[in-house]
Parts: sequence; structure tokens; C-alpha cells
Amino acid sequence: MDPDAIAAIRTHDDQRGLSFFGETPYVYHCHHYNLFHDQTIDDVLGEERGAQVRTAAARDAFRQLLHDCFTAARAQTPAERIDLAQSLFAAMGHGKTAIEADPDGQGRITGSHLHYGLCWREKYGQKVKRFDPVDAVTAGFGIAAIELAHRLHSGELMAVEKQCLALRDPQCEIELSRGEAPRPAEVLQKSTMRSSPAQKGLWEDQIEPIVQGLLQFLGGVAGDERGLVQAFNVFVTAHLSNYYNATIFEAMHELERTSPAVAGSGQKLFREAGHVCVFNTFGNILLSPEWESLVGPLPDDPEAITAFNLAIARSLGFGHWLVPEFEVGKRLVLRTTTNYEAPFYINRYGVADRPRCYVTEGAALAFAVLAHRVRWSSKPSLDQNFYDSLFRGAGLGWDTEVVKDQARGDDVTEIVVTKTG
Amino acid sequence: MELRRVVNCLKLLNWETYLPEGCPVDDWSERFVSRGAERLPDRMPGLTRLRWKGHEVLVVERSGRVAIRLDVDTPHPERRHAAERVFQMIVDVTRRPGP
Repeated sequence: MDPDAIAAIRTHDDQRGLSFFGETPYVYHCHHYNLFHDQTIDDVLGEERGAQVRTAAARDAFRQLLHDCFTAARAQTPAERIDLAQSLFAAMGHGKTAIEADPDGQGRITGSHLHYGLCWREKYGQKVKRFDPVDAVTAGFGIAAIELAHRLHSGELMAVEKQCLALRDPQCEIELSRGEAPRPAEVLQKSTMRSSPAQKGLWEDQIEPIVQGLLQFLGGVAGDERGLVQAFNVFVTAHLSNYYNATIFEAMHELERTSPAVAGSGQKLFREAGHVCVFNTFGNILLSPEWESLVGPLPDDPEAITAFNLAIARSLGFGHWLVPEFEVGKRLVLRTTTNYEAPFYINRYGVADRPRCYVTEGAALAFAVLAHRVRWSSKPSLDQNFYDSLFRGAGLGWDTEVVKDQARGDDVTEIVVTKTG
Repeated sequence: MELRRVVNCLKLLNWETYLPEGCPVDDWSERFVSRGAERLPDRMPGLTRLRWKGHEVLVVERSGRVAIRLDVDTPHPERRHAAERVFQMIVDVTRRPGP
């Protein structure tokens, strides 16, 4: 799929801060977040069940996307559809794949540069020996592509990853066979996303031009010849928010059902996913040559850094995030009139009985920490030691309270971050 | 000029240096192209993108910052050396105008 064809189905809703491929919402996340997210699902559910949930979520999310793409491109034959699916997956930064399948769906997917496998090997490969493969997203994508290419019912194909770059194999290889898989679940579409009217917060005049500049940049970003996007000093994917949401909420619901006493630990982990996202994705964007070229050198100014982070959130498709109140060193209020978590929750499960926007809450805290505790002008190294010094142990120094949550039926989501020490 | 490793979790993939103050980026880029670099499509105003021997070189026009992003297929033990080769070429292009 050439960049022009992708551009033709890609839209960004400025009012809501959301991005879409056709009807399918997507966001940008970097490899740090993607790896942490999937690891957290497995930590909560165990490796086997985690992989099952992740594969099914990816299948459902990509099935919706591919269905729209095949319709838009009028791709009819299995070969056309497989070709289009592979091109789109690579353009999104997930890696180049080769899909081979019989008309009954049995076959295999291979890739030498899959985002998850390759990035896991880059990040942890020299320090950690891994025993479980990591490419459930590719497995789910491949299942969706084959189901739609051969017009099969969803829920009848199983995937087993036999080789994985993360296991030090030379490539990733996923075997597909007939079997009983989880039934398809509902995913969110553009037309079914609820949101409140956009509001203005602080620093809007500063934020908006940056959003437009980043959107222009991201509009031209597509996978290279290996299907990878290397930008902002990280590997980036355009990824389906239906995948992130389905995995988090399925994992949390299952944990609450089976082990309610430790459900709080699950919430904490998913809030930490928000810290990881802001520290790595947002932090690396701020420190990148792309950012410097667009905005200029970074000041050590908590208000400016927070304004920058809001611009990043909106342009990455996280929703319309704003800060209505800010007291340097004391308090930050993050409000979203739209975020990518709440609409999914309400659409699939109905109104929540407790706060559910975990990543947004974690991100709010990370906004305060990055604004106040990082000397950006010194161009710090965003490594694990620095992360630990900011977010782990007793030294965090900031706390959050979710006062409103759209998943709970409120008009907006609002998180108050307060200095504690 | 000095080569600095950008420390993050990617193993020795990202490096950077700065062009000397006053070095015109347009001319410098042209010279780099004449020495075998390929100009990549612009993604951001004020950011020049080049590729040399598979590695990406980005130049921030307003500051002269040069980011070197090594090809991810460069084997780990060879990455430092690969970065030094790119850096040496950058120094060469800066100091010796003309092909």
C-alpha cells in the first residue's frame, strides 16, 4: 500500500484529538510502551492466557481495519487482500510480513523485522533470556488478514509462534491452524465514539501550532523497506487503540473476577503504563532532532514542558487533553474531553462503576514529574536508571486523584495531580 | 567536533554531534550528497534528512545538531565502529569542501 493510499484513509479529528484509518481509531506508541503494555497483560494473566487475550484483541482490532481497507481499495481476491494487509501492517511500523495460507486458513506468517520481536531483542536481548515469543499482535493481524482474504468466520483460526527474534531465532514464524479460538468481540468505531465538546485550557496559542506541525510530520511517516518506523530516537507504531483497550480491560475484568484481592496491583501496573508512555514516548519526542527542528531548544520551565506534552498527546491521537489549572510545584489538573480509553470502555461494557482511564491517569502524574523533576536543557539520558529515580521508590512526590471519568459517565475525565512531599 | 552516544534502551543505535557554529547546512548537505549520501524526503521544515551507507543522518538547521541513526541491522559489536565511520565522514565533509 503506497503512502498516498494510506494518506487517503487516514484522518485526524482536531476537535477530539483522535486519529483514524477509515472508521478505526489509532494512536502512536513507541516500542517502550508496546513492550511494557504486553508484559503487563502477561503479568496480570500469566503468559499463556495473556498471549491468548492479546492475539484475540489484535485479531478483532485488525479485522475491523482490514475490512474497511479492503472495501475502500475494492480488493476482492485473496492475493489482493493479503498483499494489501501486509503493506498496511508494514506502513504502520509493525514490520514486513510474509503470509502464506490455504483457502481453509492453515498456513504461516514470517517476518525478519517484526516490531515487537525486534524491539524486545534490542531492549532486553543482551541482558535477559526469554522463553515465550512476543508477537501476538502480528499473530492476531495475520489471522484477521487470512480470515478476510478467504472469507472465513472469525474465531476458527489459532496461531502459535514457533520462532521469535526475542528468543534469539533468526526470524519470527507463526503457524496458523484450524481450532477453537475466542469468539470475536465488539470494537470501537469512529461513528460510535462518544465525546464532549472540546474545551480550551491553558497555553492554547502555544499548543495548537505544535499540534499542526507534528500532525504534518506524522502524516508523512510510514514504515521503511523493513516495515519499521524509526523516529524520535525510538521505534514507533501506528497502533489500534482497540487493541490496547481490549487487552487492558479484559485483563482487569478477569483479575477482578478471579482475584479481587489483588485487583489494585493490576490498576497500579496499568497506571504505570502511563508513566512509561510519557517518560519514553513523550520524553524521546521532546529530546529528538525532529522536535528541536519544529519547536526549538527545551527550556527548564514546567509550564512550557506541560504545554508541549499536551501538544504531543493531541497529535498522537490520545484525545483532546488540556490543563485548566496549573500551579508550579504544587498542582496540575489534567482534563480530557476525549481520550482513547473511555469511549471503548463504555461501548463494550457500559458505564463503569469505578475509574477506568488508567493510562490517562498515569500520564497525568508523569506530566507533573517530567515538568518538575527533569532538567531538559541538559538533554538527560532517558534510560532505566533515570526512570527508576523518577517513578519508583519513595521519591515520587506526586499523587493523583481521579475526580471525573468519562468511562464512569462523567462529561469529562479530570485528574488532579498534587505535590505530596 | 565530538561524537556523543545518545543513551536510551536501543543498543548504540543513536549518536549525535554538532556542526561547527556558522556552518551553512544547505551547502554542507550538498557536499555530503556529492560524497555519496542520499537525500531523503523532508518530513519536518528545518530538518535535513540524509542516508549514507544505510545509516540515517538528520541535521537540525537552526542549531547544527546532527543525529546519526544507525541501520538497525548493524550487528551490535560493530555499531560503535559504524557510528565512528559516519562521524568521520561528517567531519571530512565539514573540513574538506568539494568531492
